[in-house]
Amino acid sequence: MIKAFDQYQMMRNHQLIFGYRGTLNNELITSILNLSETKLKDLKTPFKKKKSIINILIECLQNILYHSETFSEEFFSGHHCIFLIGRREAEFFIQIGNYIAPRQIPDLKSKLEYVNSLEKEQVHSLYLEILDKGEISNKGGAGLGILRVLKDSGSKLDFNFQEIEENRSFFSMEIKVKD
Amino acid sequence: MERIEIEPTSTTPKISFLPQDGYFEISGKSLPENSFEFYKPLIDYMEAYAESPVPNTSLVFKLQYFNTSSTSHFLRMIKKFEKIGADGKIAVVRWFYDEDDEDMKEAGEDFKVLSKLPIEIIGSHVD
Repeated sequence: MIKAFDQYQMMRNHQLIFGYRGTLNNELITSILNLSETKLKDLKTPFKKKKSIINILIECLQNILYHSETFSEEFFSGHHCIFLIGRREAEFFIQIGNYIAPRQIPDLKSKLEYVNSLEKEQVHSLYLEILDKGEISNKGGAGLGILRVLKDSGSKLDFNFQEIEENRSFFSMEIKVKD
Repeated sequence: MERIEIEPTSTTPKISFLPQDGYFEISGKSLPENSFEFYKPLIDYMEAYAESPVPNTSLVFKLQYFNTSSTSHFLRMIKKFEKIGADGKIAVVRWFYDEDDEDMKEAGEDFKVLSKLPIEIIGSHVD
């Protein structure tokens, strides 16, 4: 028997607005951005906050596309991820998760710990410094994305890594956008 | 030089490069999956234009959303036109932002810090 009510209650209890699970491509990212924007308008979210949330989504979702691990098995190919957006009282939260190779963890962890330790002004000056150096690759802007996420969020990033099996780990991150 | 006009898509901006008028406009959303592939030919074109520009050149940005990899390319575009000013002709950047959009205004101010080119930051309603 289908119990959509259970799923409804589960999302309600977790204060989720909507979510997506599966593989990503740029067309899906565009659809997620459009849906998010429409929903944020519907919730009468102030312009500044809506813009910050969309900017964060752009960077996070494209980042999954560029950097997450893809797997070749028939039923497990592409950039598998989860993306959730919700609202707890005065703040929105965005949760993202994707598979990564265990070898990617130390580097990502130290980068995230470093940017998390910076004060607001330092985030901005590092952003300008990297932008000025112009070290851009096909895969993006050499760390500009995560700095923009921090700038738009105004809060520290909450993240962790879970070992799933020998060659596969799962990266989770929560980004908050306060009033 | 031939003009360049590219229609916008859901992830790439509208491009209107009119070299005879010295007018270069980028408008809309810039979230290309591969920003290098999209912007490299445009930047090469701007570099060639900067060798023999008309007396007045303007580079106009009217953006709604962009990803950070696009930002790096915008700065490269701006820097390509610094040469024009150095050669005694006029080149300006006009960075439009929606009046509600503080974030877009700040992005224009960032370019002001990083470039020698005059950058006008103009609040309006971006279509």
